Amino acid sequence: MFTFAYRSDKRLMMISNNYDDQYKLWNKVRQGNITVIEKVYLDYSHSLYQYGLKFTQNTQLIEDCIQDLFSRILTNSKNFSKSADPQIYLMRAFRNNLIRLMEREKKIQTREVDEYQFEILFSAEHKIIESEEAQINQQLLLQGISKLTARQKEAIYLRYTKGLEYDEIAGIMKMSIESCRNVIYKAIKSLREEIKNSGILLYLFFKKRYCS
Amino acid sequence: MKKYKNYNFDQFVTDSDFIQWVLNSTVESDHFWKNVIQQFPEKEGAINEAVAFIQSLKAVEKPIPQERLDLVWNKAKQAKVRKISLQAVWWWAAVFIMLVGISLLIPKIQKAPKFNFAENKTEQYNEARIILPDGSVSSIPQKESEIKIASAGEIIVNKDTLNSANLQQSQEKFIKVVMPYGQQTSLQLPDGTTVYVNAGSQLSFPVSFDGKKREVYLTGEAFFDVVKDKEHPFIVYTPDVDIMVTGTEFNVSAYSDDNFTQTVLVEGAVSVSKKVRFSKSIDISPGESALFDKESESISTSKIDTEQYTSWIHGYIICENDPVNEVIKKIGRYYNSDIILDGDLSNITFSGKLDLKEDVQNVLNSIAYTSSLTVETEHDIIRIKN
Repeated sequence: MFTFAYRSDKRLMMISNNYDDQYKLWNKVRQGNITVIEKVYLDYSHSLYQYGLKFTQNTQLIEDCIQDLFSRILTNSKNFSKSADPQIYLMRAFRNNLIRLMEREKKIQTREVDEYQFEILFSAEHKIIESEEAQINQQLLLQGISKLTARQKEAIYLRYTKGLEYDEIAGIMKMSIESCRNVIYKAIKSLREEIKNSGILLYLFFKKRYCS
Repeated sequence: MKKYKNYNFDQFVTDSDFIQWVLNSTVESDHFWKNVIQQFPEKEGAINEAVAFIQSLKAVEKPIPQERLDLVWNKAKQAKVRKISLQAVWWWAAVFIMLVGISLLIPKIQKAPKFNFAENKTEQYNEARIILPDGSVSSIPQKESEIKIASAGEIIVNKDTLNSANLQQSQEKFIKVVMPYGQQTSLQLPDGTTVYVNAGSQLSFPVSFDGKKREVYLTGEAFFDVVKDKEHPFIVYTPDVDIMVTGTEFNVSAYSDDNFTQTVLVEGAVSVSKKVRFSKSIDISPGESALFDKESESISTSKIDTEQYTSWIHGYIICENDPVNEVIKKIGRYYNSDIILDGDLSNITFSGKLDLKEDVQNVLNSIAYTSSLTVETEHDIIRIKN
């Protein structure tokens, strides 16, 4: 009990401090402070690049989008909204621009607009599989993942790789918090179904690590 | 912590604290979740399952080479600079285009006429006279006369003072000197400037030069010997060009029946400009002529012998390879004679000095002799044949 209360308070404090810091940071960005903008770039460009790679393997396009985003920030940062979480703002703006450009490219190539692609190499695919049992589980999870929609995959990625909250994901993907919750819930449910049907417990593989 | 009592896989897997622990475990969070398991051992299965699940869902992220990111940042910085300068370039381009557009429109806008030259055309040229601001007319019978406008507003014609009592009260208007063909005058303006007004010419000027500029209006021909006064530039307005000077000697020929307006500079400096707004003025130096062509509306300059153009004030005309028809036109103006040219004489030139004190017949005869033409006189009409 004590530990939780302590931790919880501290986390709350950390968040509020963090929020204050972010607010100040964003104000400096809005003032066009180039050192601050460069710091923001160093903090987030890596993450944006990786996010972009989930949409497309066209690194040129990704780099163009990041470059465009930051040259816009450098030129008219004053026009940005007063309060924004830099990370969420950047991801949202980057995503918008990237999807727009991809659609344009697709239009040029195939003259039709499709829903965007979102491809993730999950840990499940990547791990060196130790036991055959775990391998089967991984296969099942992968089957489930392949059935997810791009939106579901993206939401899962933002939630379970980036560790973002629902409201943040909703902000980036331009949807309501409620539908964001639903998208993730449905994704998890369908993945669970795959594993449940197989009747094997996935956790065995990880048991040793966390709960010794 | 009690809430975890009711948690199962679905709750754990969607719990923010739980996810944060799986993604970025700290000593604190490890301790906390171990506590949870200790307190609710029955949850261990669900917790482990949820951990495995979240771990499996974590994307494998490719590391991005820092060089790529540095490159993108530099491009972004450059793009910012370029963007601004590009914007500036567009802005200036727009300004430039606007200015060009305006300047294309402007030549069509004539300078506001200060003086109605058209009135001069309807003026009767039959006798030499001075028209005063109040409209009163004094005629000058002499073939050659001298007029002096004293600074007090006195007008002296051939040493006789004109009755000009109302002159001072009507300063806005002009005194107009009209010289018909056959008569010329030398005129002294209030500032001391001497103007020889040739035959068939009109000169208008204010009673006194009160403004910043000394402005006179001329149709026909006049020779100006302008008194130097840098503070008050002297400007001769003609129907086609304006001539600005500070102090100098020059001749202006602006007859309405000639297809040119010529300014010839003897001494000093003048600048000649067209009657359009913002048109570039042309400076000429002594011994040069600025010739405005009425057809092409352009001014060309050339070196000339000034005596040819100014000799008329001394009573003779000097010609050097001048077209005969031009020379005869001048003579006709001076003597007020009707001279008819038969046949095309434009290719025949005349060189020599013509004394205008001689009878018109003698003058024409001397031209006819050197240019092998014949002169016939019938009543008052003189006919020159090829």
